[in-house]
Order: sequence, then C-alpha cells, then structure tokens
Amino acid sequence: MREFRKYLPALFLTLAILIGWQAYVASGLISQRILPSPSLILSALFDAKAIIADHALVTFVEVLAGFIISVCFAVITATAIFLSTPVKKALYPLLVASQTIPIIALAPLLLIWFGFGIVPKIIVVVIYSFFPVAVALVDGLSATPKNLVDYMKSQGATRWQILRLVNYPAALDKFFIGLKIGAVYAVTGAVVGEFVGAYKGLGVYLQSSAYSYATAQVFATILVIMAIAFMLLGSVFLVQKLTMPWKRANNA
Amino acid sequence: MTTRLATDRVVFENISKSYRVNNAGLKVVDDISLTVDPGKFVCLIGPNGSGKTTLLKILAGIEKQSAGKVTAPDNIAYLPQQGSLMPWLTVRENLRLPAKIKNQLDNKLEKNIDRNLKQFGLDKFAGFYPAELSGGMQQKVALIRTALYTPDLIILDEPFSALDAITRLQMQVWLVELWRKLKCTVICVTHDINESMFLADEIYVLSSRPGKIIRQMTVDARRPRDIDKLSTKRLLNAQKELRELLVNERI
Repeated sequence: MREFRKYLPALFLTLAILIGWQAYVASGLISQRILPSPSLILSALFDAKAIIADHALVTFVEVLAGFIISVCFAVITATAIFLSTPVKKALYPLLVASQTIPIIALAPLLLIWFGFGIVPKIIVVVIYSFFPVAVALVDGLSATPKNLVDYMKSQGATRWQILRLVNYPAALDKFFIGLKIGAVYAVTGAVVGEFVGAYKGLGVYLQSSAYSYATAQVFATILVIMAIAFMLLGSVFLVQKLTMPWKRANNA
Repeated sequence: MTTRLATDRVVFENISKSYRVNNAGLKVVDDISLTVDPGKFVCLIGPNGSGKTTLLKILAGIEKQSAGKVTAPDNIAYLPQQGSLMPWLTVRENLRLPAKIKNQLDNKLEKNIDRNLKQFGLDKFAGFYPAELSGGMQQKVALIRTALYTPDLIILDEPFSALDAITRLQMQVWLVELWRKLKCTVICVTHDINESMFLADEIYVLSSRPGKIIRQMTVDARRPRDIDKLSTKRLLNAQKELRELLVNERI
C-alpha cells in the first residue's frame, strides 16, 4: 500500500494531463489529425491490435536478445577492465570514444553488412545499451570498500574469491543503475535500427503510420514502445529487489 | 614479507614503509622493532598519520613493508577500522565467511555459530543484515566471528571508535573477557588513552609521521580492571605522561 501511495502524485499528474488533453482536442481548437485525443489513440490501438502485436513481438525479441547479449559483454568487459590495468588503459579510452560515434549513422552500414533481418537491429541494441551498463559496473567494482577487501586478504582469500564475494555484491547498486539506463536505451536502439531498414517491427509500423498521416496510430505505436520499455525496466527493478534483499532490509 | 610461522610470538624487525606520492617517497613508518609475547594485549597509540594502521596491515599480510621483517602466527584475525561485516550477508553468513573462504563449511561450524550467537544474546539476529543492527551489535558480531575461529593473534584497528561512550565501555569489558577466554595475543590500535590503559599489558606510543616508537609502557594493573585499579598515583601519572607525549606529537 505504501509502495502504491508513492506513485499517487505521478498518477494524478498523468490523469490531469490526459483530461486536459482530451478537453483541449474536444474543444475543436486543434485538428484530430495533428493531435488525436487520448480516447482516439486508445481506439486506434484497439482497432490495430493484431497488427501492432505482430510488429511488437519482433521489436520485443530484438530488444530482449540485444539487451541480454549487451549485459553479458558489459560484465565481461567491465571485469577485465577492473582486474587488469593494461586492459583498462587500452580499452577504457576506446569505450568512451566509441560514444562519440552517432549510432544512427552506423545503422545503414549494418544494413549493408547484415541485411534487413533481425541481426543488425540486435547489434544496434547491443551498441546502444552496452556503454551505460559497462561503465556503471566498472564504477561499482572500483568503489568496493577497501576495508572489506582488506578483511578478505587477511583471511587468505584468492583474487577470484574477493571478486565473487566482495567486488560483485558491492558493485550491484551501480550495476543496476546502469541496467535501468541500458534497458531504456535498448528499446530506443531497436526502434532506431528498424527505422533504417526492416521488414517488421514497431519502428517500421511507426514510420509507415507517420508517412500516411495516421497520427493516432503513431501515438498508439509509441504507447506500445513505452510499454515494452516499462516491462524491461520493471523486470530490472524486480531482479534488483530479488538479488539485493539487504537493501530492502535497509529501507525497512 | 610477513612470515607466518607456527609461533605465537609477533616480531617486527626494523620495519619501514614508504609510499610513492606524486613521484616522491613518503615514509610513513620508520625502523620499528618490537616483540610481543604470546597471550599479551598490546595497544599502539599515536597521532593521526603515525602509521599505526599501516603497521597492522603489514602484520595482517595486506601490505608489504619496504624494509625489515615481520614474524607472526599463522592463524590471525583482522578487524579493519571501518568494520569488516559484509553488508550483503546476514549475521550467520558473515560468521560463516572465513570458513567459506577456506572451503571448510560443515555442521560442526553451524552448531558452533548457534552456540556463540545464543551465548552472546544474538541468536534472534542470525538472519539480520548488518545495517539492521546497532553499531555495538555489529562490532560484537565481528568479534564473535573472530572468536569462532580461535585465532592465535587478533589485530584490531580502532575497534570501538564509532561507538557511543556507554557501548564503548561495555565492549571494552567484553573484549577483555573474550581475550582471556581465547588466551590469544591482541594488538590493538586506539586513539583513546583511557581505553589503552584499560585494555593493554603494554602500550607503544608512536611519533607523528614517519611513525617511530617513542615510548614503551607496561600497564601494571591487576585484572579485571576498573576505574579504581587504574586510579593509582603511578597509573594516573602514566596517563598524564601519555597525554603529554601525544599532545607534543600532534603539535
């Protein structure tokens, strides 16, 4: 109940915006073609639910596969950077520099190399979400309290025991911050990848709806994209709650 | 290099330690030699930056000295300054940790944990996380963990500095009881002159950086100690001398 109450102000604000929006469109001051009312968006979503679900499934698979691969890569890279100074010196600047490349400009190249299938989209998702997760994990690992590492050393723990029993748990907080940012980026990555060239996916549907001025359909697609992002974000929150029970205890 | 031997004696021989800071050598410990006989309670006292923590880390095998030799028993327990309980482990899991590191988890240990938790009135807290315990209780758990593995040497770095005055006094009494039960050697860093007088058989006073031993003092008071036994003219004079030494070093 307390958890639900926390979100009440945001819920009220959303409701107020929706009511205001509906009233503004109903007043006739703006055409439904430019700004469809929330009720029209919902009915567009309902009308095209089968086709939207078809596209959403493709996007969802791209997001999920890309995000999982990205997290695996990020964990391996961050661990290597943390454990080895030469690796850190070689890789970290490249990692930061890679963020200056506009990923949207890479998408056409990926299209040339890998075609219109699902693979280039997954690669775009990986590129989008890798950086925040890897950097957050490196930060978290590096911020391990020294006294805890000292204690492990005094007990004769090996480097791997210290990593597994101290560094990783100590880094979880920051790692999950990175995961939350990465999860949102992953959805953006998939849609951007589909914009550039695809047979199916919410990006394709959104683009074709926009070209045909089906504004309500565009909004309906955005709603579904948001729903996928919320689902992924919610899963990350859930995993965090399950894997960090001592945080719940702290807040009790 | 710290040599871990099947001996109960702790020996520092001409220990020095320097760090490289901005391409220059910063000497924190300078030619320290001391011997601690088995079963003794020794306190190191000195101003900030006198290398007390560094000495303990060298003894615990966490840092290497730049020069000299350390001999220490094999089975040691070290309690760092900011605590050593893992926040993500429950009290029971924290107590198991040293055995987990050495791959020696067994039923005997579990029974031992249960017995100790009960003995010290913490049995209801076995499933609690450190953040759910008071500062005093956290230190108690850390010390129970130390006792559980019957070390030959306990190394304590300002163990009670974060506690309130009353809890601190209670914990000092408790620590002395634990030490007498375990019959091990204790080397403890403290800032508190009264604490060192209450706990120690021997007190070593370190100078400001680089740390050198500037005074060795034997606390000649019978145990169990209390405020009366520590208020003899001789011991009050010793406390006064320690205070003056520390004030001069701080200046």
